[in-house]
Amino acid sequence: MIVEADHLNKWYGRVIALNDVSMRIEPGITGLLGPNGAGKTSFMRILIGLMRESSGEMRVLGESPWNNPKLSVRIGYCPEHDGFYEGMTGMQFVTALARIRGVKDPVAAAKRAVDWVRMAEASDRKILTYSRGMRQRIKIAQAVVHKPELLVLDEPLTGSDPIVRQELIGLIKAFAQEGGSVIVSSHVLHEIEQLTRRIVLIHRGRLVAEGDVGQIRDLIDRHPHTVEVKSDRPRDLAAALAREPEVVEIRFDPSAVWVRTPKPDAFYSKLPRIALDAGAEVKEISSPDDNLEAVFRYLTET
Amino acid sequence: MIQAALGFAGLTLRGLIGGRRATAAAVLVLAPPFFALIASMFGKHVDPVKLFHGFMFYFSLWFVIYLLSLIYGISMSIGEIEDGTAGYLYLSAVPKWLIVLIQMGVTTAALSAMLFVNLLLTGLAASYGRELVPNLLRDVVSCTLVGGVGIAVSLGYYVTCGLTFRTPTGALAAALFPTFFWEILVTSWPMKFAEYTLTNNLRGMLLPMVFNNSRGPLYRYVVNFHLPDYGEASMFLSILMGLFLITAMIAAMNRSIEGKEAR
Repeated sequence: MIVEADHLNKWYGRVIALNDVSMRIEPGITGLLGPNGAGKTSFMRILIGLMRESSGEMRVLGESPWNNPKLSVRIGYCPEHDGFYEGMTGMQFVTALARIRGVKDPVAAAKRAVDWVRMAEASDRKILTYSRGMRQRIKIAQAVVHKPELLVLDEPLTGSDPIVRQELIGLIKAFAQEGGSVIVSSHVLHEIEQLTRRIVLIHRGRLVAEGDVGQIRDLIDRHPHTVEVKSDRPRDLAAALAREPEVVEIRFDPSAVWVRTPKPDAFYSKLPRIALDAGAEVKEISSPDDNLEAVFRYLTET
Repeated sequence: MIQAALGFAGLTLRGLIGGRRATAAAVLVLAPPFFALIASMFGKHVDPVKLFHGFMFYFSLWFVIYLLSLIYGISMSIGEIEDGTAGYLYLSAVPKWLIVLIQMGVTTAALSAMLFVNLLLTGLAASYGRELVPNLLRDVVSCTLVGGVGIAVSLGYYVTCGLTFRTPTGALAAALFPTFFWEILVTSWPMKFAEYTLTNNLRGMLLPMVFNNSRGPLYRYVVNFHLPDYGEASMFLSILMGLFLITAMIAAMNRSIEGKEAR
């Protein structure tokens, strides 16, 4: 086990950030999934020793992380928010952090890490001038510069464009393939799905579910999924959709139809033909439920 | 461990140089010499010694050291936490108490160097167009040493505030209230408590070092209280410095880096 949490609680005054969380995380890549404010960052900060739990116990790589510098240098952490010494260049930043983590040849280690995240060309530029993607990569470089056993990444893909996202996913997978363990948080299910099949779900400070991403998907798919279809003729479209067995509930207004279906994939594949037959133009399809908050609402209601 | 500690010293020095706080520090350091220069250029019956000692007594060893310590003490504690850089610092091979010790040691040395520059420039500016202030270097070095003690004490207090309070507003309020009430108001009032202010203890140490134990006009307000002598003042300041250093280290060991999501 790389992480063992036992009845972990964290309060901020009267606000409960983590509520009796117990879990075990095995080596490899593990996704920590939950909507914003679920307690993911609090869990990670306790895990890396930046924050002390209010009660319960956390053990990482067999040790307690609080005030444990020996353990700190075995962990790499990439925070969600950008916090940099903006006046430094990327290389200076990574070198400085390698030095304070006791790396023997910090300059060589920083160069290796910067090359690894493909930032060699921009490494002599000040961080102030970096794009969002470059900042993400330099944060990952500082997290791996001391060759940690465990990499903890807090929402590393948030705000990245698709190309950077794929690059970052590749880097995270490469780190795991080289034998490291990764705990990565996100509030977007498909981001996590691209990285790992093993996920832990946190909602309102509680551990909601853990296991294979397929099991979680099945759990989600048992509950009707809401789809919003914007159309020029919503009444006609609603009448046509009402005849379909996949649709369990339907309502409409002058601009859109809302459908609840337990089989969203089948519904999505049938929709173009149904709309064509009804003579309705489909302007936009969206799923108000296609966000994690709704998924967790389903899960916590069961 | 030693390399990591040296890394912290380097990082602390870098932090002193950049940003708005460096600009504020530069203004604080250069303002007294600038005004001294104006006074000596345009004043009619200016005595360079009185001008220099006046600036040293009322500006450099009073406002300048507290404001410099406040700027850097708050920025190296809650400032780092708010900026999100504390997370990087506290995930290192060095225990938190040692991080604070290194940061405070380096910052005290750097601020003392700034005070030295400030005093030297003020002395030179006060002498503009006239004979150089006698014993200028001796006075500057003496005052820098005394001021360095004041910086270490106040820095310890401000860092403690920055690591104890969860919000910058709380930390600033806790830092500023005693500074203005105790060090500015009580120092200036002719009352018994005035002998327990940091400023008057620094002035007590300064008396034999710069003013040859002769209480000139600058010390005329010392009427209703006993101005500590060199020995008493150095004892008082040493205790205070040790106390605040320990409280800052304890605060660092117990400080959770919660981030903004905690509020």
